[in-house]
This record gives sequence, C-alpha cells and structure tokens, in this order.
Amino acid sequence: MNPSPIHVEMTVNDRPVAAWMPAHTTLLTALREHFSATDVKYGCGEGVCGTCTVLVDDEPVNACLVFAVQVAARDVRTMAGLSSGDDLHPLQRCFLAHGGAQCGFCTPGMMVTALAHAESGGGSGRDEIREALSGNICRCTGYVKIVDAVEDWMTMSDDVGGAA
Amino acid sequence: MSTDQPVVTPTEPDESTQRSDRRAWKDSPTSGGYLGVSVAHHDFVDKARGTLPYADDWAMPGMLHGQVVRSFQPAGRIRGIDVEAARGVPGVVAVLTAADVPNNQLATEASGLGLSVIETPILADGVVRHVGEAVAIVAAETSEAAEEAAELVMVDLDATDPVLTIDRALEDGAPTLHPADGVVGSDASNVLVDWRFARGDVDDAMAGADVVVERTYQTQRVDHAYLEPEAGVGWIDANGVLVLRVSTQVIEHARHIARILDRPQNRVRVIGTYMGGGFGGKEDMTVEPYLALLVDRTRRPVKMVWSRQESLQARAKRHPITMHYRTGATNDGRIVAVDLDVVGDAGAYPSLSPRVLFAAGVVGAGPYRTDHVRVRSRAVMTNTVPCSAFRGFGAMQMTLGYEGQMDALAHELGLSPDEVRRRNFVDKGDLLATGEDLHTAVALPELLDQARARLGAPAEPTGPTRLVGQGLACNIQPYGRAVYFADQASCWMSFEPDGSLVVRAGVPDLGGGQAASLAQIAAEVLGVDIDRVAVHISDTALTPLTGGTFATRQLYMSGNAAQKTALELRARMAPVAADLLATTIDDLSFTAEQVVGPGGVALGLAELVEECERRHVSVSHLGVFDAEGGDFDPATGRGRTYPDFTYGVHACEVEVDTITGRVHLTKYVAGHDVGTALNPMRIEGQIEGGAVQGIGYALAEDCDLADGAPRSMLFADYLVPVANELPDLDAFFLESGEGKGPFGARGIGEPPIGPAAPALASAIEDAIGVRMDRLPFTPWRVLDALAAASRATA
Amino acid sequence: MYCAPFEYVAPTTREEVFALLEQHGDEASLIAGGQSLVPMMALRLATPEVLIDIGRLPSDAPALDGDEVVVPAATRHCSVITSDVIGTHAPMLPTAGRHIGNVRVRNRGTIGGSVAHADPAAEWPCVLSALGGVVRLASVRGTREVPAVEFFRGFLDTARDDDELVVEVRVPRRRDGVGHGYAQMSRRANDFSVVQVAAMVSVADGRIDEVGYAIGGVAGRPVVLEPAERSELVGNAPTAQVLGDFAAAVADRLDPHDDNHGTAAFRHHLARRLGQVALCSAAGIQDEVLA
Repeated sequence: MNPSPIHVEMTVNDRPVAAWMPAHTTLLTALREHFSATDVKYGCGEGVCGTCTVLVDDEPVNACLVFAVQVAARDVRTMAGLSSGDDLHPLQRCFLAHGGAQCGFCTPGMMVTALAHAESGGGSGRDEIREALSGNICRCTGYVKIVDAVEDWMTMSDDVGGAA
Repeated sequence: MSTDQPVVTPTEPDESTQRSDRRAWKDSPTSGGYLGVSVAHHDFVDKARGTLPYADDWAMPGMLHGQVVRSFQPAGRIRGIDVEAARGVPGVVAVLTAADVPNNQLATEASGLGLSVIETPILADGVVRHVGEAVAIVAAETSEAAEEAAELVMVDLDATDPVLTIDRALEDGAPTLHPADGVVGSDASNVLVDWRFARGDVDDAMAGADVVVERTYQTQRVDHAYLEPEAGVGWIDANGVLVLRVSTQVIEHARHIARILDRPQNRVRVIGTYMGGGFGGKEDMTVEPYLALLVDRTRRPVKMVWSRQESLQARAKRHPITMHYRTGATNDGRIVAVDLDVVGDAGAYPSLSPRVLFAAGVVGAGPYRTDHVRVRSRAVMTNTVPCSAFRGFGAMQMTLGYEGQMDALAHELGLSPDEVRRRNFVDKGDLLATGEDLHTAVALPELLDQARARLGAPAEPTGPTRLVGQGLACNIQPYGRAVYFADQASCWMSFEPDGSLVVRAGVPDLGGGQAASLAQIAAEVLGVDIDRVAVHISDTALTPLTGGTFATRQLYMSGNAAQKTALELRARMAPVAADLLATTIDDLSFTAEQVVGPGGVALGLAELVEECERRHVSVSHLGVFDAEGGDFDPATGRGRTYPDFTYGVHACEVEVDTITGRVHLTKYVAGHDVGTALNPMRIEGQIEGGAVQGIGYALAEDCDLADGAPRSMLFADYLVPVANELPDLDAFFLESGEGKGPFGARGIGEPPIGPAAPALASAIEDAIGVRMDRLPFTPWRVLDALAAASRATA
Repeated sequence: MYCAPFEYVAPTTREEVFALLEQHGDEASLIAGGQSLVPMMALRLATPEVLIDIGRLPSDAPALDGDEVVVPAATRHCSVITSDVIGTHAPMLPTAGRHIGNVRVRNRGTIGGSVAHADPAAEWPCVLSALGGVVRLASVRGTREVPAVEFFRGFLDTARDDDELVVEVRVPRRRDGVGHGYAQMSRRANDFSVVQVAAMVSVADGRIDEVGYAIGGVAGRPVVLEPAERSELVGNAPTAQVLGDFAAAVADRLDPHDDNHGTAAFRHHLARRLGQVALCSAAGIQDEVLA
C-alpha cells in the first residue's frame, strides 16, 4: 500500500517550512530529512533517550513518537533555534562554561528540555532540575555539569526577572 | 575536519581546581599559560549550537542507504540464502552475501603475540555463530526500502546445538566454535587464549597464611549505550579512493577494509567524525566493512545507520567475567599470596578478547603488594554476541574481586577496610604478577584519606524501612597499549605566515576533548593564542596517524606526539628568533603570540615565521612519538606489559529500601591521580561520567540473554542511569606530577569506571550485612541477600 | 525504525470517527498522543492501514458529575496530574499519574489512549480497577459503560470493539471515610513499574466497610479481588497486621512471570509488601507499616 503523500507545513525555529511526505514520516525524520534540522538526533526511536526532544508549542515532545502530520501548522523549536549566528543563547553559554556537553549528542534534547522547564515556571533547585531532566539520558557527563549549567542559567535568568 | 572556528577563550581556573591538591607540581618546560585551565574548544561550541556534523548528519548526492540482515539463531549451518524477494523491492540496488565479499576472512590475531588466529567473516559464510551476526547486506534508494528488503532476505538455517555458557564451552565434547584454531596452552578448543602470570611460591605461601579468604565473583554482559548509534557514509572520490566518513575510534581500520575489498591500502581512506560517544564500542569496526562493500559494488555513495535495537543486539559488549580468588594474609592484615582464576566470555568471535583478558590478569591482584601470586586468565568462546573493548577493558571487571577480597580480609581479621588497604597498597618500585615494577608514584594513601574525609559521617536513614551503609574501593588501571605493540603516534604542525598554527593528527575525538587537548598543548609550547590554533583530526589521508582513541592512550600518545612536535618545531625556529633578538635560545620564551628575550625585547610570531621562511628554515614539522617498548614472554608470563598504571579511590553512601530492594545512592565521592591536570573541567567530566557508568553497571545494566538472544532489544529495558536517581558526585583529583603523558599527565578516560561496583558492594554490605558477589545488584538480589541475612541471624 | 505506511485521517467530530471505525474496523488504529502506539508501530508490532488521529476532537475538562469524577479520554496525563477536581475527588489518579513515563510522555499521552492500549504495567488500568472505575465507549451503535474490571481482559486486550471509541473514564468520587493508597516499584525513575498496587479502603466507626484493590505487573491485566476476598476485610479494624495478612494472602494466589526486570519471586514479594503499604496508606496508618 502506498498512500499518497501529504503536504505538511509547520514552523521550525520561527521559519515556515513545508514539504510533501508520506503520512508515516515521524517528526524526527521530517525535521532531519525535510527541514534541515539535523541538530535533532535519533538515539533510540522508543521515546526513551530524549535526544530527539523538541518543543512543540513550547512543550517537550518525543520527535520520534509523533508523526509530522500530527503537528502540522504548529510551532516547533529545536536547540539550534536558540542561537543566531555566532551569538549563543545564555543557556548555550552556560553549557560551554560548565562542560555540560562532552560528546554533545544528548545536548540538543537536554537544552530544550531545560528551556521548557524554565519557561513553564519550573524551579531552579538542583533537585527540581534533575527531575526535569530525568527523561533525557546522558552517557558521558554523569549529569553533574549539565545540572550546573542549567542551574547557573536559571539563577542568572531569575536575577534579570524571570526565566528565559 | 577543519577546526578554524572561533574558540572560547580560556576561563579562570575554577573552584574545583583550587580545591584539588597540587602535589609536587613539576616545572613546566613551557610558558604559554594554557596548562591547568579549562578551555572550551570549537567543537564544544558547535555542539552547543547544534551545528557539529556527526556521522548521520552527512549526506551525499545520489546516496543509497544500507541495511544489515542479521541472524536470529545463535548457531546453525546456512543451507541457503534467498535474496530474490529482497531484490524485488522497488529501489533495491544491491543485496550481497558472503560470496560477494572479495576477502571474507578478517584475520584477527588480537593478542599481539602470535598466540591465536581465528578468522572472522564479514558476512556469515556457511555457518552462523551468534544472534545478530551479519548474514547479508542491502543497499536501496531509501533507508525504508533497504529495511523492507532486509526483512525479505530468507536465510535457510539448519540450527545446531549452541554453546551458550562458559561452563558448556569448557565441557568435554562441547561443540567447538572454530574447530581449526591454533591455540597455545589451552586444554579445550573453545579456549581462545589462556594467559598465565606467576611470581613466588603461591602454594607454600598460602599454606603458611594465617587466614585465607576464598570467593567467586561474577560480572555481567553490558552495552556501551552511547547515544549516537553506529553510522557512516561512504563514497568513491575523484581519485578513485574509497572514502568512509564514519563514527569510529580507529581510523586505521582503513587497512583492514582495503584487505576485505582487495584494494591497495592507499585506495581506502577513513575520515573519523566527532563521535556521539564511543567508550570502546566503536573500537572494532561497526558499519565500515558493510558500507565499503556496498560502495564498492554499487559505485554510489551509501549511508548506513544502525538502529538502537540492532546496536543492542549485535554490537560487541563488555565481557562477563567469572573470577575465583584465594587470598592469604597474616593476622596483621598483610597479604602473603593471591591465587586467581579468571574466565571471560568472549562470545563467538575473537575481537579484542585476548587483550581484554590479558589486562584482567595483569592487574587481577589489584593495587596491593604480594610476593606470591598466580594468575590464570582465559577467554572462552560461546555462541553469543562477541565481547570486546569497553572502558576499563578487563581491568575494571577485576575491581569487584580484588576489592571484595580486601573487605573480606578486613571482616575476617576485624580490621577496618581502609586499614587493610593501607597496609597493602603498592608503591613505586613494587612488582606486579608479571614481575615488572611500577614506574611512577602511587597516590592511593592520599586518595583514600581524601575520599573518606569527603564522604563524611553517614546520614540517618530517611525512613524506618531504609538501611544506610558506606563503602569504599580502590583501583589500578593501565593506560596506553601493551608495550609489545611498539605503539607510535605522529603529529604535524605548521605555522601560517600570519603566525597562526595548523595542527594535524589522526586522533579520533569521542567527546573527551581529544582535539581540544592538542590545541592546548600546541598553544602552551609555542605561545600561540589558542584561538589561532586550527586542529585537523582523524583522517587517514590527510592527518599523520596516531592510532585509535582507546586504552586511555591518546593523552599519552598523541599528547606526547603533540608536545614533542611543538618542542622540536620551537627548537628549529628558536635560533632565528635568538639571532633577531641578539640573545641565546635559552633566554627565549614563547608566549602570548610573541617570542620574548631578556629585558622584554620581543618579536611577534608572525615576524618570526616570515624570517624563518626567508632563511629557508621550515616552519612545518612532523613529530613522531614512540611509546616505551618492552618484552613480554607469554610462555613464562613475565616481562613488561603496559607503559604505566593509574589509581583511583571512590567512596559512597547508599540507602537500601528493604521493601523494594532498591539501592538508592545518596553520596558519591570519586578521586584519581591525574599526574598533571591539563584541563580540570574535562578531568572532572571524565571522572563524573565514568563513575556514573560504573554505577549503572553496578546496579542495573545487563544485556541478559535467553537462548543466546537478548531478553530485550529495547532501550527502555537497558537501564542507563538518569539524572534524578543520582546525587551530585564529588569528583576530585590529585596531581602527583608523575604520569607518562605530556607535562607529567596521566590518562583519565577509563580509570573512573572501575571502583564504582565494589564501592557499592561494600556500601550495600555495610547496610545489610551481606556481601554481594554477582553483578548487577538488582533489587531481587538485594532482597535475596537480605533474606539470607535474616535467616543467618534467626 | 520505520512504521508501515498508512492512510492518515484527522476527523474533527465524533461522528466522523464512528463512521471511519465502522468503515475500516480492525484495519484502523486510533491515535491520540501516540506514546504507546507509535513505538509498537515503529517495531512493526502494529501495522494499521488507516490511522485515525483523534487529537483534533473537541474535549471537555475533567469534571464532577454527581458522585463520579469524569475524565474525558483526551485528557493528557499531565492534565490529570494537575487537575484540581481530580486531585480533590480522586487523589489516587494524580499520585499514580506522576509515575507515568517522562515529561514528554506525560505531555502527549492521554488517559483514554493508555486505557485502550491496556498495557499491564501501565498505571491507569490498575488505578481504575481498584477504584471501581468505568470506561465509557461510544460507536455508531450508541454508548455503553464497562466496569474497568471487565474492560481489561488481558495483555493489550480490552472489551472495546473495533468500531468503538473510548470517550471517557469515570471513577467514584472519594467519600468521607474513604482513603486511597498507591505504591509501586520501578527499576528506574520514570520507567514502567515492575509491580504496582492501588488500594481503596473505606472505614466507618473504626471498622472497614469496603475495599478496592488491584495489582499491576503480575499478570496480563490488573489482578483484582475475588468476590470472597472483597468481603474478607469488612468488619475488621484496619491494622497493619490485618492489612498485611490480607495483602500476603492475595499475593499468594498470584502466578507472576519472570523477566529482565524481576523474577517471579520478586514480583510476589512486591505484591505482598507494596500491597500492605498501599492498604495502610489508604487506611491512613502508613506510619505503622513503614515502622
């Protein structure tokens, strides 16, 4: 059976994008192969590892467990959308300053999950950050430096009047 | 790959640097100001921005997609493979089986000493030896078509009696996996290698011991679980060279690939990408031979990405090891003899098993002095997924045993576990089982004191059904390849006319900052601003080879190569500078983009480069570092093994839930001697990450097999630790100044994974009163142990 | 890694859904959050020819209807956890819901999807079974309500007919004197539990007058009380001893399975110990069992 392709439009990092694709194309595949968002990574395809996490209308979503057609016309954000050119987002700078990335493969999912946590009013306590990031697996850092980075960024954001 | 991106400037040494004990700081021969500071190299900037092109982020025009067809049976004879249905899938371009492989026998003599040669087929040829073994490969226009076609390849298999356990493999009359192998010193044909090391008279000393503790310990098969699955893209370039751009720890596999394809070795090029983790799992080839075959056949670019489930099923694992210890000691806690038998499950093909079990045997007695020691270490073949390299490489499994023995001795003698260790720690000059002496400082006493102090007093249990316990464990880990491999690494540095520097070295970067280290060392020695150092790594055609990133060898090998190259280049340019500044070379310092002479008279690096070129003094230099050599005699088990060893101490506190059996880790301290700290932030990152891998291994991770097949191929069932079940680890390091890396540094990649399991075993024992000898310490095993303890006291 | 191809439809009314279900029968799958279905599809364990996305149907908020708390099927796990009305009147739901998956699964997954999927290790089937909840189904043929204890039939097997849509679940509003207790054990935070126990205990004048109880993770569906067991505790004072003995007796008739997350004996142990914890929590005497 070869159902006809569907025209899927969405916004990726404030950029309107559109492409024809079969309905069974996951958001992960659509982002990587149709919309050039290769910062979103495949890690397990089961929704477990968290490296394909993107924000759909500001909420963290497993891009591997959602079909692109399901999020048509919605707003998708990925880690690459945080920076513009050479200007890094403060969260990205905190990851760098604290060594929050080693191999870097979990970083895209970690960062958008942290962003959603802060934007939704989550707390900047280390336990709260650990809880918020608990669905994102990192195999390199042991999480300490990731928590350091997020804590530093959230504290910094608090200082200037509210996260992000 | 090019690294001419802006680099974040060095940060001030952070608090952690200051809190570390800078013992015996060696006078550095350099002055660039880049040692001991946490620099963030460009690759980390790209990672934070999402712009670093990993292996799967690469594409070529007209690219096909490859897929491996794998066996579902652990053992059998292939009667036939029907590929017609697969070929009929629209978009399929090639389906290859063993007959299509020009040279289908990859000879692996992994011991390095000519002990055993067993051929490993690239695609199963007539016989299948493990679940997940590659039987055929497919290339198609889309990955979806390739996957569909792979499902349709029909393997007609006559299943045979599989050998699934070490015990079965060693039985008389067990089927032999590789009947024609040539094994030295083995008494059963499934024995791949049988190492023996001995010193003194163990039987006599054991007979004279006041106490003897005897126990058996068992570790499990685990997966690396790096987040980036195996991936790569291959193509044939304009020069007719077959190029593979892959996620690999060893670009030198290009030579094996050439052999498989019957190509000249200079017609295969491997470009290593920045890896999304490796940990030894990308040390053997993964996608490379399949990509190469498909590119060679189709003459089109091909991409291959393994799924997580396929990676869990088929890629090499860590060896499960059974170790039987007898340790004799005097009443005052001094070890007089160690008798040790080690058996590791190699799986169906040799991979690196001979070397892994070699490392296990060499350090099997632990970092403890003993005059009488006898070690036997075997790798045994079974019809299971092959086991090979994984951070810690055999040496790490042994910590469970030798540290268990120390705690058992302490218990037996009524001494504190710390005291028993202190009385037996090796020191510089002491001998290992092989008769070789330790060359460098052993900071174990200081590490132990600090670890214990940092752990502090135990907390009160958080509830009445919780039990609290503390534990501590030490380890010894070699770094660098075994000396008889005559290891070598090269580095090529050249100045550009503007005074910026190009560094080229074949080192693969698996996220540990390998490329960044080269920039840091070059900047330190040559006084170049680190932002003006471009590093090109991991390309067999364009970068001088360094050997792979494994065995905690890159700081030692490529680090020393970089330091040596930079020093030699500086020595060549220095006379020109001395001449211009009217001084002697001894009075020059290379710093801050300048060469400075007495009285502050200075010359810009760009000016120096210009002058050197005018005088025909080359500003480009290829440096070669030769590792320490040495001989080892497998017949006597004596000689030199590794260039050096390194040490660590971890301490932890747990709370055991007596209702669920879960072990909650509440405190964790991890300390290592790093010789000299080149980049404190990266060192802490290695310690924290390694310790957490060790914690996962201790408490949960298990590639459990049933009938030779994984009980689960789901990542959901492979329990890598997550953030909310871990405390903030307290990582610290000491600087003895005595490593064999550049500036006296020691490797830190592998060591931190070692002590976690025995430290947790010790803490659990402290909490529940029972020692657990079998990994992982699952809740049901903890409950069984608790039940045994209550029966014992009832 | 790839799901089998399918035709995608995204109806916006229930009537359209009913018509599509009637037309396609078992060749169609309904998808809401997809957090259970898509992994099955990716592993080719589910290969629907038609995927009916019910994510665009209008949905109400959870509400109180007389003595019942009504949770519309499309309610996401995260909304169950944060709903005031559910938290006040059916507090076991948010307690259990916090254990569901990771933040991404809680954001997208729905109570109706989880109930229809009927994974024996999932939270909602166990909770609904213990609380005496019902599942409301609708189709072109009309609507019906099936008690949870009858709805969950076995591993991924329910009483839902192919043409039916799960539209809501209902649980009795917690009366005064009724306590809810929930206990579970998972190998790793956020993962499916190995064993979970949900308990409801009603006490009047110091005596137990009603009990609801379900154990998840020990069979293909939540294990609930036999008729004789339902009355066994009635009339007793709720003590740790009484409730512990009861949990042990129920556990003793289980025949749990062995897998890589626990041996059969371990599951039996958990059913017994967590059962006591859940019952004592429901009776408000958890301090006794944890002492």
